[in-house]
Amino acid sequence: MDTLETLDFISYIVGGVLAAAWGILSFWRARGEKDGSLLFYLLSGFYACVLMCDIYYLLTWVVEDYPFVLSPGDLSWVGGLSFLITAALGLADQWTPGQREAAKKYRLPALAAPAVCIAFNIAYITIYPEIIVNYLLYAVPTVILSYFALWLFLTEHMGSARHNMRIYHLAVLIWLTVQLFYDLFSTLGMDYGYAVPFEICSWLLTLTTATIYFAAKKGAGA
Amino acid sequence: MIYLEDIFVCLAVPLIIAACLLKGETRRFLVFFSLGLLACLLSAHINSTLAAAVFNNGCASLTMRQAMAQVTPICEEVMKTLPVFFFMARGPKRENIIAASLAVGLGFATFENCWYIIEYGSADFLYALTRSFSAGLTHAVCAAILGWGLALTYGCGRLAVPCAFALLCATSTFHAIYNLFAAADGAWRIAGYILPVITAGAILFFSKWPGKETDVKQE
Repeated sequence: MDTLETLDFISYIVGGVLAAAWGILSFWRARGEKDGSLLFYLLSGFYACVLMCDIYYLLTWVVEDYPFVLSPGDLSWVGGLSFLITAALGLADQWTPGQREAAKKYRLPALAAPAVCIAFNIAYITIYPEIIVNYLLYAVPTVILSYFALWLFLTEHMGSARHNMRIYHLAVLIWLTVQLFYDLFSTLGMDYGYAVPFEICSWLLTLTTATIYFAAKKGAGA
Repeated sequence: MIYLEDIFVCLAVPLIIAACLLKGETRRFLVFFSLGLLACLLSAHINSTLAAAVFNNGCASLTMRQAMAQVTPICEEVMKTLPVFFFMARGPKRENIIAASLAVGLGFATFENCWYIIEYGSADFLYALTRSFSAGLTHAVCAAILGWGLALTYGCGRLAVPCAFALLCATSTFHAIYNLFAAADGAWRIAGYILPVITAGAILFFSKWPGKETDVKQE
């Protein structure tokens, strides 16, 4: 195991430990609410999925000697994205009729986020077409989530109504951006092995995953 | 050679007759338990077909064992979820979704345990005990997580669809992680046997099911 591979291994372990911690915190916070807070329940699901993805990846490394390119571990990541999509829809459902009306004008600008995601994914597929199924599996929920995250962020940031959760939507957008670059360097590294930019993105992904919980906590407590 | 259909008939017929005689929640439990048995029978056939398809297509140069390890958890979890989805379409009470999901999971685990005990012999009590507390409990844990999660967003309109998909992904991965542990040797295998026990313990500890009203806290 060379230095970068060891760093990658450690990043997965640290990511798993942090995901477990934030997952438990999210669940605990959700239970503390009178009728249960759906957002924090969904966030605990998201963190559980991140944790399971890390565990699966590390286990295939240990048990099978190398990680699978397409596996149920990837499905866990897709599950995590789906939990965030559910949370975004849930937050949009809480808008007042006035906010909903104001949100309509941000529908079109919000399409910029999925456009960027699609461009990145086309780049991945062009660079490494052998694992197109993997890219498509990741691309669909990423595109959907990016649209909702930007739409909700724009509505809360630019609109005249409540702004509580805009920091949460911003955290999700930053996390998605880091993930896009992580996937890009991961794709570029398929033939050349581990590289410093990939490792930086890997650690940034771990860091930004944690910020989603704090952003939600700050928004909910505002 | 094990004839799974014969095992299914032996297990399911008395339950279905009992379900015809009973009413209310007991009947519902027996029906979903039987559906769990059926789900296990069907997934046994679908698993091998799908794994062979993946293996023959040379997908990511997997061995047949690896192909089975990839396909089995996803297929089994989908099969266990289908009866619960159909039940949800009928507009049941929130608590009944959890009970139905658990019944399907328990039915599935029962059928699988019977199958393995017949195939590998019933002389080894330790094997039977380990299997009950590991693979059997894994199905129950997955069913509990799925039922609880579905109940959480039940009645929240469009939230239910992405949440159901997310739960399906999560339970499939949990199942796949158990399978990976169980396929390993030594301490990893023991860790795999302990994993469902710990998760079931955590579920029991946190077993406060969601209330009638759930809301996304904003302010």
